[in-house]
Amino acid sequence: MLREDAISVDMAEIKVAKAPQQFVTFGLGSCIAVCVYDALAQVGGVAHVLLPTSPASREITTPGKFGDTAVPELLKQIEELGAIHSRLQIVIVGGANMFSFDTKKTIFDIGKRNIKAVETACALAGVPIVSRFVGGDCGRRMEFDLDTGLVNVCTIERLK
Amino acid sequence: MICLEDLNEKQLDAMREIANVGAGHAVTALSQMISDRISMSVPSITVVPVNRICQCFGGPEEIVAGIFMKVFGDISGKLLFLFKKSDSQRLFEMIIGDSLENKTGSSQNEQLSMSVLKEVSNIMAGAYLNAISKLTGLNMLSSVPGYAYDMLGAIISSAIYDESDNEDQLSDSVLVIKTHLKTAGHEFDGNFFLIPDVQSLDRMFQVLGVN
Repeated sequence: MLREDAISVDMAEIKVAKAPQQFVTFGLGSCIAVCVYDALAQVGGVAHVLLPTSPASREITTPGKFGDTAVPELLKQIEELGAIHSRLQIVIVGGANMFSFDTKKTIFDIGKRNIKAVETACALAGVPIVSRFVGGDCGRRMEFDLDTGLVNVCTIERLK
Repeated sequence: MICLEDLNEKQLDAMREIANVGAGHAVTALSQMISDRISMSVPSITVVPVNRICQCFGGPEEIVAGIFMKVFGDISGKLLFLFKKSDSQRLFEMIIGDSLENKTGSSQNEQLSMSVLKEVSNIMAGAYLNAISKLTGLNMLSSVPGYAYDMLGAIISSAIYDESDNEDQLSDSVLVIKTHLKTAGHEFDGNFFLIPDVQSLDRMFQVLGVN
């Protein structure tokens, strides 16, 4: 169950904490919530990624916005909090393709590119992705409990 | 390069005027479609930072229908229409002349409702872009509409941050145009988001002479 003191991780944010803290991310569409957890130290963190790769031409002030910069920054912050790199596990949530067009060709699939960028960044950092709730065409809410390490994902009931 | 955040009064006024003309055209089209009078409030225009949009519309988990279009041409960007659940039903009743509940077959309803919202958005977008075109002499075309019925937060973020963007040019604010429409039996709010590419704003103000 989500408590009132759960930390909301908004767009482009990176947050880390220790148990018994909880994290929540509302309204994930094509964005991705990258959840990282050290089960032994009970330390975890979340990055709310909006876009796959950071622009090369500009200094990055918000590393959490881009997949390729968010993952290293998240890992850095969680290790500063006492997590051990070799024990880390990652769960990713989001990366949906929200808009259905009449044409079959999906021209706007940023979600897929986000997933790929985050997966690449995780592989590069050498941290395994143990679970995925990605793709599809629905918005999601992500809840992450550092006490248990459980990640809970909710979607809306479709209007029928 | 100009950002939405630092538009001056004159530029906002120009945007307001364009929105007014555009919405006027759109409502005329809508009125012909349902052969009924529609009255419209003067559109309000605000520049809202991306991370505050959700708060302005009832939270990230508010269920809304969103219709999304890309704009190509001399001015490029994106258009997003948002209808709250109750407003989308009212709009449906206004256009079809029947309540959603009276129709049989739930998946058929969903299809029909989606189709109505897309069509209305298409007409409004066309009228709006036309108004800008006429005023500026710049050409614009809109893509086919995409539809989503889901959480507000998911719809907004996906519309703003989309694939073809040059990440360098991403605007962190959007222009929100709000109008209130009224017919004999119905009333509803139209929320219309204009997300121009940054270089397009420059161009538009240059042509309008308010840069």
